Amino acid sequence: MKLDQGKDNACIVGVGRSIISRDSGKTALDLVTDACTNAIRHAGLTRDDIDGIATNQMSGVNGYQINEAMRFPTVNWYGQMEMPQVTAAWSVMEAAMAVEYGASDYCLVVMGLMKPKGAGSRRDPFAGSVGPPQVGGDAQWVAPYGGNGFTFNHFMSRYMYEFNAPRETFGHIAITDRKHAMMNERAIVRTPLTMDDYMSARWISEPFCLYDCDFPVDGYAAVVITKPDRARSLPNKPVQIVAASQNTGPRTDMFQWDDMTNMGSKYAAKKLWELVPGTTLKDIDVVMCYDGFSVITVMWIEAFGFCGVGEAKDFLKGDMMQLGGSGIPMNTHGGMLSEGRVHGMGYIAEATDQLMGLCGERQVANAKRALIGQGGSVQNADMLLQVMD
Amino acid sequence: MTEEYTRPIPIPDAASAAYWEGAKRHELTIKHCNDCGYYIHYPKTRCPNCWSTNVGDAVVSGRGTIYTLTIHHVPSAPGFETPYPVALVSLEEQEDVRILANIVECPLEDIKVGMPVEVVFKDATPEISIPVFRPRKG
Repeated sequence: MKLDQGKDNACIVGVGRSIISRDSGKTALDLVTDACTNAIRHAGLTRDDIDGIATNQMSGVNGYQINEAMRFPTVNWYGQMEMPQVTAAWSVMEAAMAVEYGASDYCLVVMGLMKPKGAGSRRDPFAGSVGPPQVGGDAQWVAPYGGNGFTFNHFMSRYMYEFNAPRETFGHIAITDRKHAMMNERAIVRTPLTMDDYMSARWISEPFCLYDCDFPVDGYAAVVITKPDRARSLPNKPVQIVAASQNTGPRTDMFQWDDMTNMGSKYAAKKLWELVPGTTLKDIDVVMCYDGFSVITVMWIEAFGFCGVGEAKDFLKGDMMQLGGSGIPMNTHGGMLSEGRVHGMGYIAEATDQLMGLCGERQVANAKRALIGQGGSVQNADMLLQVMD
Repeated sequence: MTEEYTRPIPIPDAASAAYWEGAKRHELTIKHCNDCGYYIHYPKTRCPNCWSTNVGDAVVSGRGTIYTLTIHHVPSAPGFETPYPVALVSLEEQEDVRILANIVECPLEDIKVGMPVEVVFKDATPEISIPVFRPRKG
């Protein structure tokens, strides 16, 4: 890998998290400010330094609310992705561009989830309605059939059909994540998980069983981003955003995706590798692959080229992608399947911790480069992080 | 209709009115570009393939193939008893027209991806009928 790739690019200089909990008893904004305060202090910065805020619609808060809660003296740039977008990488990429452009000197990026509770949650979307619910817009094609907006089980169905892939393919993802979560005290679920547990778990929405689906939580994570010259004078080893990409294919309705044996990750991975010519998986020390549902992870693994399309069923056997295993360790924090759904920012926080050497028992020795793939179906982003020389 | 219909009911809009009017007549009606021949779903009045606005409504065969299959064990709407099947059906006329629908008149364990199916209509209200699919006969 060419070490001068991305040498002028923005760096992550601090990481912070709120508590991650099934029911925090706090508001989204309070959790967001916990994560932001921790990230700013970790970076060795103060209130007066921060002049940019990026988040997106799915965090449940916006930049104005964050600033009202934290009172930065002047905010020069807000990034507020309004499309439903779970990839925190997308917001990090926006912030990096803002910093490199000079719009912001020190930019905060925060993302996470406030677990839906009670009426209106996914468990009971029509709770409280009197008589048959009336549905318009895109829901008119889905709700009359008792469908929901989560198409990932359809992707898994098609993948299994086309490649004759057994359920164990996806079980390997859940088991790998859980093994890692047992070394992460923040993780929501830390009990051992076996293939027998996976195969006998209750169905949620076939082909999804319980362990194919991540755990919704109350939890947020934040990072601070600045230029390399500023990053050098701060206490942490700067983590440079060497390359990043966010992409869709020609179809952007989740049910109308053209080929459900893959996702937008194939476009994102192709673009990312084009941005770093000469770099290959051999240069990567740790990888994060989005696991909101296990099928998304399988498709990222294939998109990045760990194995060919349809080959994950054989590739993932054994300890491949586990810490101490024979491949590149993946989701060392346990992913969203075990740490909890911090909406993508969990992977960026963990990758940064790995590159800063902060991961304790689950630290990947001498980790210099991390590959991150985020999002699934139509919405995807990825990035390559590297410890700055 | 002998039982009260409690499932969600679609609200037709300017683009989808012909689809739901067709369903009421028990005809599957898909927007169709008169210039390039592309079938357009979800309905739009400008063809996403060639950007022509010369778009009409075509009654299609109602024949298709199950492209994906899910079995819901947690209900996502009122009126459904679990487990129930939700499939994407790829239409015979054009593979990338995919209609999400329940599969009816078939035991759950016999429904498979790749199965040939045909449309039937479930009358929900005097104004709205819902297209669903059953295994193709003959």
